[in-house]
Amino acid sequence: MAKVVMEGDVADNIRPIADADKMDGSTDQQSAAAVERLRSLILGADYESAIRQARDADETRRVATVLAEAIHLRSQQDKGVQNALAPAIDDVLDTSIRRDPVKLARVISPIIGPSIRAAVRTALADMVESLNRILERSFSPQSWWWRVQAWRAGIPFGQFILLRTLQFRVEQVLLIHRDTGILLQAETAPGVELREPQLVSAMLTAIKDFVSTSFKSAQDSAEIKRIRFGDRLLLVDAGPRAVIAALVLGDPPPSLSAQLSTTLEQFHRIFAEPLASFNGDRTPFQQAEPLLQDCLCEQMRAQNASSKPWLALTLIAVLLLGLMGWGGYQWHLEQQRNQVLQQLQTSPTHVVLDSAGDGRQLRVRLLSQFGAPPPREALALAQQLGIDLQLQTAPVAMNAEDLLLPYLERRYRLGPEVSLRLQDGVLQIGGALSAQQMTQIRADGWVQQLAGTLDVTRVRLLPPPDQRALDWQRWQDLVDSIQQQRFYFAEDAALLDEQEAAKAARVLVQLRDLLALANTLDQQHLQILVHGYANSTGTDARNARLSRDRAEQLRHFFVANGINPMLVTAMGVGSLGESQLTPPQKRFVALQVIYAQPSDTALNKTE
Amino acid sequence: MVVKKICMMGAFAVGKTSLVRRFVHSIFSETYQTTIGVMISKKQLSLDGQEFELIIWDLEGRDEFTEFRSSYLRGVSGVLFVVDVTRPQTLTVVRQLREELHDQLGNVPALILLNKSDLVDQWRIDTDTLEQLEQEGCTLLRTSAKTGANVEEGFQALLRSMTA
Repeated sequence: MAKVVMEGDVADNIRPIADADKMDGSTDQQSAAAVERLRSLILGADYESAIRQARDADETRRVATVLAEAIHLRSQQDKGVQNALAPAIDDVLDTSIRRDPVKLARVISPIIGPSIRAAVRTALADMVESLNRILERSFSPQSWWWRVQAWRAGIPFGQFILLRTLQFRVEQVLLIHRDTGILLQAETAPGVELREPQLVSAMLTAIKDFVSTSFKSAQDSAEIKRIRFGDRLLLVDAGPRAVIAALVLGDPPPSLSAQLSTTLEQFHRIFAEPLASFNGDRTPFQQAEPLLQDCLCEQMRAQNASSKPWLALTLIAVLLLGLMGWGGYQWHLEQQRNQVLQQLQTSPTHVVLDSAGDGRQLRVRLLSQFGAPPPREALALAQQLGIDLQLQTAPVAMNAEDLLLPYLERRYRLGPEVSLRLQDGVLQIGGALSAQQMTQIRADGWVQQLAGTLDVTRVRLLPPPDQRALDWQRWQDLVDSIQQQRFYFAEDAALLDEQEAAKAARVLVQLRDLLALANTLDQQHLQILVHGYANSTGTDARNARLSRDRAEQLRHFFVANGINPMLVTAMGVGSLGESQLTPPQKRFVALQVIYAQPSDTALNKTE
Repeated sequence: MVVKKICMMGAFAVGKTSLVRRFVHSIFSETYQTTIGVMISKKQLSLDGQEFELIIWDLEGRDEFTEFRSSYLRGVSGVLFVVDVTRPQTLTVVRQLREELHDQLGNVPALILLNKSDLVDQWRIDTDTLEQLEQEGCTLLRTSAKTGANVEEGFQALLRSMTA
């Protein structure tokens, strides 16, 4: 078989042979057939594919050369490139974010982090400031004087406050087409209603034109710059093609006029082309909204703006102190109630069933040995501490045996294999107990009071537990718990919802415990497999991808939280196919722990 | 929505304001109140599926082309000239206004509304004059602010010529 070496354009290398075969016009077809035959003989079956590859490579190079210029050129003409690329870019972004959301968070956190912090700081400062204003306006002596003045002036209190505390506030900003008087864009401050903006803008233009025509001198072109009516001032500035008008409450500083002029200049610069070709379509000027928003500013009077919000801070401090004092007092009361309760529990003739307390009251239900005196010491302590102790006692015919033996069983968790008997002041103990249990029973105050002697001749002391066996037991418990967890997903989603994320956080703690135990138990072959599954909706390829994305999501969560990435492997299983599980139950991720089974332990659980 | 500025022009008391009130508010009043300066109204219209907002500048009725008119007409997209068919001299005023408008702003889409056409007995403009106007390229429409005849159609026709 002939081997074709691809150097340059293969078609160019072959063309001379074909050209040489063209002897005359009458035999063109025969010559072409002959050339084809010759090529097949010389180059063999690889000829066609070689030519195709060469052409493909050539076309790829040509496209690569002009691709950037072509995209740039087409983007200037229309939105075709953007429209064509948008779905693909959306898909790529979506997949990338699903696969590794941590990466995206890492990229954007330096950008949005400072913004969020600044926003929180501003919000807190605004909240304190607002609280301070409310307090000042509600409770200060000045506010009451203002109420009187507002009442005398016949205007609402809120409006009076605004006029007294506000230096100025820009309520509306209008951008008007100079020639037609048509409103191009308008913005208003929160709470301000803009009524009939088109008529307002046209009338403003008419008034402006009327005044200009009526009073202009030969030297200059007089134009309205400001109109004062009541507490409001209309500031007007005209450019070559547009007019900006701002309705201001209060007395604005000169800098506001300068700001309006700057905004108008920016507007002319940015929207030069739409302004020049304006035909009544205002759509392009909607993008001027941020420019106008910047003009919607306000300023409080100097003394208010510069003063610290003492009232608010004081109120907050008082509230905090009050809360702390109340909390401390409650804690103190609880300590006193506990003291009384502990005193009751030391009484050998009484058993505390339950208790409830609130403030200085303490209610306790007791079992009392028949004929036993009331718990005087506890009552005296309660009186001393000022606690109102209310006892509900149920007298029972209770001897020392009835009292002591249930107590010991409950206190030291003695099982049925341990026998107890109290006879003639001798406490007989039999069965298997740990050395620790025996020590504790010997030292118990009740035992010392109710039993003069301990008979432990029938006690069999248990050997100390094997720590390694305990560790293996803990290991097995952790593995079982981790492997039993299932993380479920919404339809077509690879992100954990809040509930499943909380579950993942719990498993993360168990994984950390497992890794710590792995060191203790010398487990060098530990591996966590993360299996992802999908339901049977959709194609196999899509389900495989979705199940892999789900497994990757869990893996990234563990790795991002400190689990060694080498220990965690994610894999997509795809769809489970036909099973008894419902579709939501099929969309899950499960974990499997791979480890070496110990040969030296009695806990021979299979993996 | 596209916004267009149009102007109503004509001699005094020809019914410009009445036409606007009929068009915008669908009302008519026999009481005459002269317009001082300019009255501005707005009305939304739909033409071939596209929404328009007309800002209607109703200019005060004056026989001469004052400097005020000149400033009010800046940026206008179309003009409705109004003639009172019971007063032939109001047509003469419109002829003058048309010429001066042309001198000031060039070719602006315009329409002549022959208003008060419901007063058939008092009609004082002869047919020859109207035919001559049409030959000069004027579009004429007989309207009545009182009955509402052809009022909507007049504004529609102007809008159509403005968007043509």
